Amino acid sequence: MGWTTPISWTNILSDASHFNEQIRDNLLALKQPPTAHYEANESSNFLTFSTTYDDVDNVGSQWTFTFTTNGGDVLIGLAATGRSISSFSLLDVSVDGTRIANNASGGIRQITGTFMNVSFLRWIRGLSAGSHTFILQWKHNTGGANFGQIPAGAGTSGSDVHPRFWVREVS
Amino acid sequence: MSWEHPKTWLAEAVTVAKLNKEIRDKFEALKNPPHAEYAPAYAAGTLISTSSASFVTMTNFELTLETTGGDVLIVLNLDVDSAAYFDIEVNNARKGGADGFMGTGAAGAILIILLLRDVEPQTLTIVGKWKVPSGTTNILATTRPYFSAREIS
Repeated sequence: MGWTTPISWTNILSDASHFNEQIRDNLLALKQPPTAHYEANESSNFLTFSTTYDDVDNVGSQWTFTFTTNGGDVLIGLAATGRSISSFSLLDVSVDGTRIANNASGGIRQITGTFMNVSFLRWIRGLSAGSHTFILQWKHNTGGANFGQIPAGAGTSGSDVHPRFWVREVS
Repeated sequence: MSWEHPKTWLAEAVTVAKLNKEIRDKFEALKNPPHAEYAPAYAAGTLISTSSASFVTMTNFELTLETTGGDVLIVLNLDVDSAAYFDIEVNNARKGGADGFMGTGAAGAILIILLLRDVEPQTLTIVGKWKVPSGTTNILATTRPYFSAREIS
Protein backbone atom coordinates (compact mmCIF):
# COMPACT_ATOMS: atom_id res chain seq x y z
CA MET A 1 0.00 0.00 0.00
CA GLY A 2 1.56 3.27 -1.09
CA TRP A 3 1.81 6.45 0.94
CA THR A 4 -0.20 9.51 -0.10
CA THR A 5 0.84 12.91 1.20
CA PRO A 6 -1.70 13.80 3.90
CA ILE A 7 -4.04 16.59 2.98
CA SER A 8 -4.89 19.64 5.05
CA TRP A 9 -8.50 18.97 5.91
CA THR A 10 -10.76 21.81 4.92
CA ASN A 11 -14.09 20.03 4.76
CA ILE A 12 -15.05 16.97 6.76
CA LEU A 13 -17.82 16.14 4.32
CA SER A 14 -15.44 13.89 2.41
CA ASP A 15 -16.59 10.84 0.57
CA ALA A 16 -15.64 7.29 1.50
CA SER A 17 -12.84 7.06 -1.08
CA HIS A 18 -11.21 10.10 0.46
CA PHE A 19 -11.31 8.54 3.93
CA ASN A 20 -9.93 5.28 2.60
CA GLU A 21 -7.00 7.01 0.89
CA GLN A 22 -6.17 9.37 3.73
CA ILE A 23 -6.86 7.17 6.73
CA ARG A 24 -6.96 3.47 5.87
CA ASP A 25 -4.29 3.42 3.16
CA ASN A 26 -1.87 5.77 4.88
CA LEU A 27 -2.16 3.83 8.14
CA LEU A 28 -1.39 0.63 6.26
CA ALA A 29 1.53 2.32 4.50
CA LEU A 30 2.99 3.21 7.89
CA LYS A 31 2.29 -0.25 9.28
CA GLN A 32 3.70 -2.15 6.30
CA PRO A 33 6.50 -0.06 4.78
CA PRO A 34 8.48 -1.22 1.74
CA THR A 35 10.85 -3.96 2.85
CA ALA A 36 13.18 -6.44 1.20
CA HIS A 37 14.80 -9.28 3.07
CA TYR A 38 16.69 -12.47 2.32
CA GLU A 39 18.05 -15.14 4.66
CA ALA A 40 20.93 -16.99 3.00
CA ASN A 41 20.82 -20.77 3.40
CA GLU A 42 22.83 -21.77 0.35
CA SER A 43 24.49 -24.85 -1.11
CA SER A 44 27.86 -23.09 -0.95
CA ASN A 45 29.32 -20.23 1.06
CA PHE A 46 29.87 -16.79 -0.45
CA LEU A 47 33.45 -16.21 -1.59
CA THR A 48 35.30 -13.35 -3.22
CA PHE A 49 38.76 -13.28 -4.77
CA SER A 50 38.04 -9.95 -6.45
CA THR A 51 40.09 -6.86 -5.67
CA THR A 52 37.33 -4.66 -7.04
CA TYR A 53 33.85 -4.50 -5.58
CA ASP A 54 31.53 -7.29 -6.71
CA ASP A 55 28.13 -8.49 -5.54
CA VAL A 56 28.37 -10.82 -2.53
CA ASP A 57 25.76 -13.09 -4.11
CA ASN A 58 27.00 -12.77 -7.69
CA VAL A 59 25.32 -16.03 -8.71
CA GLY A 60 21.77 -15.95 -7.40
CA SER A 61 21.55 -12.17 -6.81
CA GLN A 62 19.41 -12.85 -3.76
CA TRP A 63 21.04 -9.91 -2.01
CA THR A 64 20.09 -7.53 -4.81
CA PHE A 65 16.87 -5.77 -3.87
CA THR A 66 14.87 -3.51 -6.17
CA PHE A 67 11.70 -2.00 -4.80
CA THR A 68 9.73 1.25 -4.68
CA THR A 69 10.04 3.51 -1.68
CA ASN A 70 7.70 6.28 -0.55
CA GLY A 71 10.38 8.91 -0.02
CA GLY A 72 11.24 8.24 3.63
CA ASP A 73 14.45 7.21 5.35
CA VAL A 74 15.75 3.71 4.70
CA LEU A 75 17.51 1.44 7.16
CA ILE A 76 19.91 -1.20 5.83
CA GLY A 77 20.90 -4.16 7.98
CA LEU A 78 23.34 -7.04 7.67
CA ALA A 79 23.65 -9.77 10.28
CA ALA A 80 26.48 -12.06 9.27
CA THR A 81 29.70 -13.79 10.17
CA GLY A 82 32.76 -13.53 7.95
CA ARG A 83 36.41 -14.44 7.56
CA SER A 84 39.29 -13.56 5.29
CA ILE A 85 42.15 -15.76 4.21
CA SER A 86 45.17 -13.49 4.50
CA SER A 87 44.84 -9.71 4.68
CA PHE A 88 41.22 -8.49 4.80
CA SER A 89 37.99 -8.00 2.89
CA LEU A 90 35.65 -5.03 2.81
CA LEU A 91 31.85 -4.88 2.68
CA ASP A 92 29.81 -2.06 1.21
CA VAL A 93 26.29 -1.48 -0.11
CA SER A 94 25.52 -0.11 -3.55
CA VAL A 95 22.46 2.13 -3.74
CA ASP A 96 21.41 2.79 -7.33
CA GLY A 97 24.95 2.07 -8.48
CA THR A 98 26.80 4.19 -5.92
CA ARG A 99 28.48 2.54 -2.96
CA ILE A 100 27.62 4.08 0.41
CA ALA A 101 31.13 4.17 1.89
CA ASN A 102 32.47 4.91 -1.55
CA ASN A 103 36.07 5.74 -0.81
CA ALA A 104 39.04 4.32 -2.62
CA SER A 105 40.21 1.83 -0.03
CA GLY A 106 37.47 1.46 2.54
CA GLY A 107 34.00 0.02 3.00
CA ILE A 108 31.33 -0.11 5.69
CA ARG A 109 32.82 -3.14 7.45
CA GLN A 110 36.21 -4.85 7.41
CA ILE A 111 36.54 -8.63 7.64
CA THR A 112 39.84 -9.80 9.07
CA GLY A 113 41.28 -13.29 9.30
CA THR A 114 39.20 -14.83 12.00
CA PHE A 115 35.62 -16.10 12.04
CA MET A 116 33.97 -12.86 13.21
CA ASN A 117 30.80 -10.82 13.46
CA VAL A 118 30.52 -8.44 10.50
CA SER A 119 27.01 -7.09 11.17
CA PHE A 120 26.11 -3.47 10.58
CA LEU A 121 23.22 -1.03 10.37
CA ARG A 122 23.25 1.99 8.12
CA TRP A 123 20.71 4.76 7.47
CA ILE A 124 20.09 6.15 4.00
CA ARG A 125 18.53 9.59 4.20
CA GLY A 126 17.05 11.80 1.53
CA LEU A 127 16.17 9.03 -0.89
CA SER A 128 13.47 10.18 -3.27
CA ALA A 129 10.23 8.26 -3.74
CA GLY A 130 10.53 5.71 -6.52
CA SER A 131 12.32 2.53 -7.52
CA HIS A 132 15.74 1.91 -5.96
CA THR A 133 18.26 -0.92 -6.09
CA PHE A 134 20.32 -2.02 -3.10
CA ILE A 135 23.16 -4.55 -3.47
CA LEU A 136 25.49 -5.96 -0.82
CA GLN A 137 29.00 -5.88 -2.29
CA TRP A 138 32.53 -6.71 -1.24
CA LYS A 139 36.13 -7.17 -2.31
CA HIS A 140 39.35 -8.68 -1.00
CA ASN A 141 42.35 -6.50 -0.33
CA THR A 142 44.90 -8.59 -2.20
CA GLY A 143 43.01 -11.29 -4.09
CA GLY A 144 45.01 -13.94 -5.92
CA ALA A 145 44.86 -17.11 -3.86
CA ASN A 146 43.43 -15.17 -0.93
CA PHE A 147 39.75 -14.64 -0.43
CA GLY A 148 36.95 -13.38 1.74
CA GLN A 149 34.14 -15.62 2.89
CA ILE A 150 30.67 -15.24 4.36
CA PRO A 151 29.46 -18.63 5.58
CA ALA A 152 25.90 -19.11 4.36
CA GLY A 153 24.38 -22.30 5.64
CA ALA A 154 26.28 -24.62 3.30
CA GLY A 155 26.71 -27.23 5.98
CA THR A 156 30.36 -26.38 6.58
CA SER A 157 31.26 -27.88 9.94
CA GLY A 158 31.75 -25.14 12.49
CA SER A 159 30.34 -22.37 10.32
CA ASP A 160 26.86 -23.49 9.31
CA VAL A 161 25.22 -20.13 10.02
CA HIS A 162 22.52 -18.17 8.20
CA PRO A 163 23.34 -14.53 7.39
CA ARG A 164 20.58 -12.06 6.61
CA PHE A 165 20.53 -8.85 4.61
CA TRP A 166 17.55 -6.52 4.59
CA VAL A 167 16.48 -3.03 3.55
CA ARG A 168 13.45 -1.25 4.95
CA GLU A 169 11.86 2.14 4.73
CA VAL A 170 11.35 3.26 8.31
CA SER A 171 8.60 5.57 9.47
CA MET B 1 -3.48 0.33 22.47
CA SER B 2 -3.28 -2.59 20.08
CA TRP B 3 -3.37 -2.49 16.30
CA GLU B 4 -6.32 -3.70 14.26
CA HIS B 5 -6.61 -3.67 10.49
CA PRO B 6 -8.03 -0.28 9.41
CA LYS B 7 -11.63 -0.31 8.30
CA THR B 8 -12.78 0.35 4.75
CA TRP B 9 -15.03 3.35 4.88
CA LEU B 10 -18.38 3.21 3.14
CA ALA B 11 -20.98 5.88 2.60
CA GLU B 12 -21.78 6.08 6.31
CA ALA B 13 -22.05 8.45 9.20
CA VAL B 14 -18.72 9.53 10.63
CA THR B 15 -18.98 9.34 14.40
CA VAL B 16 -16.66 10.34 17.21
CA ALA B 17 -16.31 6.69 18.21
CA LYS B 18 -15.25 5.66 14.71
CA LEU B 19 -12.72 8.47 14.45
CA ASN B 20 -11.22 7.59 17.81
CA LYS B 21 -10.94 3.94 16.90
CA GLU B 22 -9.69 4.44 13.34
CA ILE B 23 -7.40 7.43 13.81
CA ARG B 24 -6.43 8.01 17.45
CA ASP B 25 -6.08 4.37 18.47
CA LYS B 26 -4.17 3.32 15.38
CA PHE B 27 -1.73 6.19 15.55
CA GLU B 28 -1.11 5.31 19.19
CA ALA B 29 -0.57 1.68 18.21
CA LEU B 30 1.95 2.71 15.55
CA LYS B 31 3.70 5.03 17.99
CA ASN B 32 3.88 2.51 20.85
CA PRO B 33 4.27 -0.98 19.38
CA PRO B 34 4.76 -4.15 21.44
CA HIS B 35 8.27 -4.23 22.88
CA ALA B 36 10.21 -6.50 25.25
CA GLU B 37 13.82 -6.32 26.33
CA TYR B 38 16.41 -7.68 28.72
CA ALA B 39 19.52 -5.70 29.57
CA PRO B 40 21.19 -7.15 32.65
CA ALA B 41 23.70 -5.09 34.61
CA TYR B 42 25.94 -7.83 35.92
CA ALA B 43 27.85 -7.32 39.15
CA ALA B 44 31.62 -7.24 38.82
CA GLY B 45 33.02 -10.72 38.62
CA THR B 46 29.79 -12.29 37.44
CA LEU B 47 30.33 -15.00 34.86
CA ILE B 48 27.58 -16.04 32.50
CA SER B 49 29.16 -19.00 30.85
CA THR B 50 28.58 -22.14 28.87
CA SER B 51 30.65 -25.18 28.05
CA SER B 52 27.89 -26.83 26.07
CA ALA B 53 28.68 -28.12 22.58
CA SER B 54 24.96 -28.06 21.72
CA PHE B 55 22.67 -25.05 21.84
CA VAL B 56 21.40 -24.19 25.33
CA THR B 57 19.40 -21.27 26.69
CA MET B 58 21.33 -18.19 27.74
CA THR B 59 20.28 -17.73 31.34
CA ASN B 60 17.40 -15.22 31.56
CA PHE B 61 17.62 -14.26 27.89
CA GLU B 62 13.95 -15.02 27.38
CA LEU B 63 11.38 -12.54 26.07
CA THR B 64 7.62 -12.68 25.66
CA LEU B 65 6.07 -10.46 23.01
CA GLU B 66 2.36 -10.09 22.34
CA THR B 67 2.30 -9.14 18.68
CA THR B 68 -0.59 -7.47 16.90
CA GLY B 69 0.51 -8.67 13.47
CA GLY B 70 3.40 -7.31 11.46
CA ASP B 71 7.18 -7.45 11.32
CA VAL B 72 9.30 -7.99 14.42
CA LEU B 73 12.90 -6.86 14.92
CA ILE B 74 15.04 -8.86 17.33
CA VAL B 75 18.43 -7.59 18.51
CA LEU B 76 21.07 -9.43 20.52
CA ASN B 77 24.18 -7.42 21.30
CA LEU B 78 26.96 -8.59 23.64
CA ASP B 79 30.65 -9.39 23.98
CA VAL B 80 32.29 -12.72 24.74
CA ASP B 81 35.76 -13.71 25.90
CA SER B 82 36.29 -16.59 23.46
CA ALA B 83 34.71 -18.55 20.63
CA ALA B 84 30.96 -19.18 20.65
CA TYR B 85 27.91 -19.58 18.41
CA PHE B 86 24.59 -17.82 18.92
CA ASP B 87 21.06 -18.33 17.73
CA ILE B 88 17.55 -17.05 18.37
CA GLU B 89 14.73 -19.45 19.18
CA VAL B 90 11.18 -18.31 18.41
CA ASN B 91 8.34 -20.43 19.78
CA ASN B 92 10.67 -23.39 20.26
CA ALA B 93 12.21 -23.25 16.76
CA ARG B 94 15.78 -22.06 16.27
CA LYS B 95 16.07 -19.63 13.37
CA GLY B 96 19.66 -20.34 12.27
CA GLY B 97 21.62 -23.24 10.86
CA ALA B 98 23.44 -26.11 12.57
CA ASP B 99 25.84 -23.53 14.00
CA GLY B 100 23.16 -20.97 14.63
CA PHE B 101 22.73 -17.48 13.37
CA MET B 102 26.19 -16.09 14.06
CA GLY B 103 29.49 -17.02 15.64
CA THR B 104 32.86 -15.72 16.60
CA GLY B 105 36.10 -17.68 16.48
CA ALA B 106 37.68 -15.68 19.28
CA ALA B 107 36.88 -12.99 21.85
CA GLY B 108 34.74 -10.33 20.24
CA ALA B 109 31.37 -8.73 19.68
CA ILE B 110 28.12 -10.40 18.68
CA LEU B 111 25.37 -8.39 17.01
CA ILE B 112 22.36 -10.29 15.76
CA ILE B 113 19.74 -8.22 13.95
CA LEU B 114 16.91 -10.55 13.06
CA LEU B 115 13.91 -9.34 11.10
CA LEU B 116 10.87 -11.60 11.24
CA ARG B 117 8.45 -10.81 8.41
CA ASP B 118 4.65 -10.94 8.46
CA VAL B 119 4.20 -12.34 11.95
CA GLU B 120 0.59 -13.19 12.75
CA PRO B 121 -0.95 -11.79 15.96
CA GLN B 122 0.21 -14.13 18.70
CA THR B 123 2.36 -14.57 21.76
CA LEU B 124 6.00 -15.00 20.80
CA THR B 125 8.46 -16.61 23.15
CA ILE B 126 11.93 -15.52 22.08
CA VAL B 127 15.00 -17.12 23.63
CA GLY B 128 18.72 -16.49 23.21
CA LYS B 129 20.71 -19.68 22.58
CA TRP B 130 24.43 -20.38 22.53
CA LYS B 131 27.05 -23.09 22.34
CA VAL B 132 30.83 -23.37 22.11
CA PRO B 133 33.16 -25.31 19.80
CA SER B 134 35.27 -26.30 22.82
CA GLY B 135 36.17 -25.15 26.33
CA THR B 136 34.18 -22.50 28.18
CA THR B 137 33.03 -19.11 26.98
CA ASN B 138 31.82 -16.22 29.14
CA ILE B 139 29.63 -13.25 28.34
CA LEU B 140 31.63 -10.21 29.34
CA ALA B 141 30.24 -8.38 32.34
CA THR B 142 32.28 -5.29 31.54
CA THR B 143 29.79 -4.44 28.81
CA ARG B 144 26.04 -4.59 29.19
CA PRO B 145 24.34 -7.25 27.07
CA TYR B 146 21.17 -6.22 25.30
CA PHE B 147 18.38 -8.44 24.02
CA SER B 148 15.18 -6.96 22.60
CA ALA B 149 12.16 -7.72 20.45
CA ARG B 150 9.90 -5.07 18.97
CA GLU B 151 7.10 -5.01 16.49
CA ILE B 152 8.08 -2.38 13.96
CA SER B 153 6.38 -0.32 11.32
